[in-house]
Amino acid sequence: MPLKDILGNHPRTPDSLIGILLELQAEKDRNCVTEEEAREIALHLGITESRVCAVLAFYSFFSTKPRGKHVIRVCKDVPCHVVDTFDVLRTVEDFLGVKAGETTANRKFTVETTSCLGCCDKGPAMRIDGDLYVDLTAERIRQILADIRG
Amino acid sequence: MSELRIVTKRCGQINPLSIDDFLAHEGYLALEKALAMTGPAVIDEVKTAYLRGRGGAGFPTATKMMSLAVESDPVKYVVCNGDEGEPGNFKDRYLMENDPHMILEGMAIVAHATGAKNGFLYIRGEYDLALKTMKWAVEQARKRGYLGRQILGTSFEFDVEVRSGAGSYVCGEEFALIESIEGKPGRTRVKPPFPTQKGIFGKPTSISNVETFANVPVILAMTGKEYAKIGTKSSTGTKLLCLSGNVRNRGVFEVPFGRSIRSVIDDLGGGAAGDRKIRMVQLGGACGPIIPPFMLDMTIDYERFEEFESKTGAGAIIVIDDRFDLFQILLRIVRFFAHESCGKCVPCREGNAQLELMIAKFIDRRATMADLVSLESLARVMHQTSLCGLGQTCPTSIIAALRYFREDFLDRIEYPGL
Repeated sequence: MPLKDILGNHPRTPDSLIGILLELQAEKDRNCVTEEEAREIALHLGITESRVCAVLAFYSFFSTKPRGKHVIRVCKDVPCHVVDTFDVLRTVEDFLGVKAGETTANRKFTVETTSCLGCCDKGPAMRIDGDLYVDLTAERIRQILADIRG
Repeated sequence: MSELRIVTKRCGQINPLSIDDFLAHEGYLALEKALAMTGPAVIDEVKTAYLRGRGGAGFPTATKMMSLAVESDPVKYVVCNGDEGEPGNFKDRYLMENDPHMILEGMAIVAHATGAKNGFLYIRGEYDLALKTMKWAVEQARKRGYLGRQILGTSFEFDVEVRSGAGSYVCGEEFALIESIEGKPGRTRVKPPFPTQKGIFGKPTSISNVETFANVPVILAMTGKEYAKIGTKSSTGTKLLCLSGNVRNRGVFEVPFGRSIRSVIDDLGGGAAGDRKIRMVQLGGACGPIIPPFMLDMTIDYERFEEFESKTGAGAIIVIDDRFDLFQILLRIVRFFAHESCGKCVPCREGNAQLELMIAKFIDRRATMADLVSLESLARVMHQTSLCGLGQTCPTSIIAALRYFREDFLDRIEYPGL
């Protein structure tokens, strides 16, 4: 959906900003918001561009740098850490050949760490785009990533 | 010891996506009962029940309702805080995914009692399923006349808008949440004025936790007097506990206040996984104290938890066994807060960065007695001078560790005598 349509789906008030940004980013293969888009949203909502940038910088879901089509977020907090016997993050990094914060050369995956995902009863856990993956094992992680890679 | 499921009685028993299933299990009957009562009478019932906030702080819910009810502004907001970002907590997600209408029913009852017509349900962005489930429930409730105008044939009107977070722990703090709903970065405000005076868009706003709202229909259904008989004198009713870490059965368990932590871990959790020894337990979440095994006989109630000078009532019990080093755990916790601090006030923004450096010194065995003293004093300063609950409670794990695991700190110092 083009940005214009997304803007049309939300009330034209400043408090729509986060909802618009979430929707826009999810639409895009690069998983990021560009400077031009930030400007257009600011104009549409009648707020300053700096306010849009402040929101983009504050919330961890948003990025102004291009990312991969799929964003993998590995939980790094204590409840997952203490049940992680094989190192989830390293398994993901080794499989894709990139470190946390990096994007694969084919722009398919970006690896990130995340704060608690709220499924500590089924950890270790990770989230890829809008899907949660729990009770992870090294084998399962490789399978999940291979399936998405296609 | 077994559970007492009064708030979670429908969870797992009904199809959360079916309002008919909810109605067939006494759904919206408490709202019907509340609408036949006056607002003050409803607040009185909650007061008699002595319901306290389930998000952690334990503020009496009836007092909060009263402060909103006395405001004369025609626009008031009732907000449900579903920004459950505290590591180790997943009870609100469990409620939203399994019994969404119960939360809407609780919000509607509070709205009726306080004269609010608009509600927000703010759910963290990581909770994809909870967001979908709650949005669906709101739509169904509107269609069937449990939200909107002339609810249940009365003059009462109330509607709820579901809002998604975008990855920020601090948005669970009430003013940060308000800023976020207004479409801004989630940075807290200076109090007073309190949200019940000036909240969202400057209008009176009352914010409570998901579990708190879920308790309201229970109280209306069974009466406040009966509800107050459950639990202990200072902490009535039940608490949803989130058991995680190195324990055999992880999950959400509902027990009356007053049970011991040990009985929850052993009887419901089946004890430590793999028959290992418990080394430490963190209570409440990342902002809670870390305690040694000999303290597990302490009971779960607000009064007992106040000793830790922290808002540790959220309900997480994170069991950590003897394979783990205290300092590695503390490092993860301080890194979490260093990342999540909103940066508005100095003690929290700079303090967490310094805490991280200090804990690293203990890990590398470079620490001196002077570091131990600085660590303790910095933790205290942050606790006393930070602007919001995040900054005030983030050093709790360190303050508790310095008290209960002091030997471990001294062990890392080469010449503790100097």
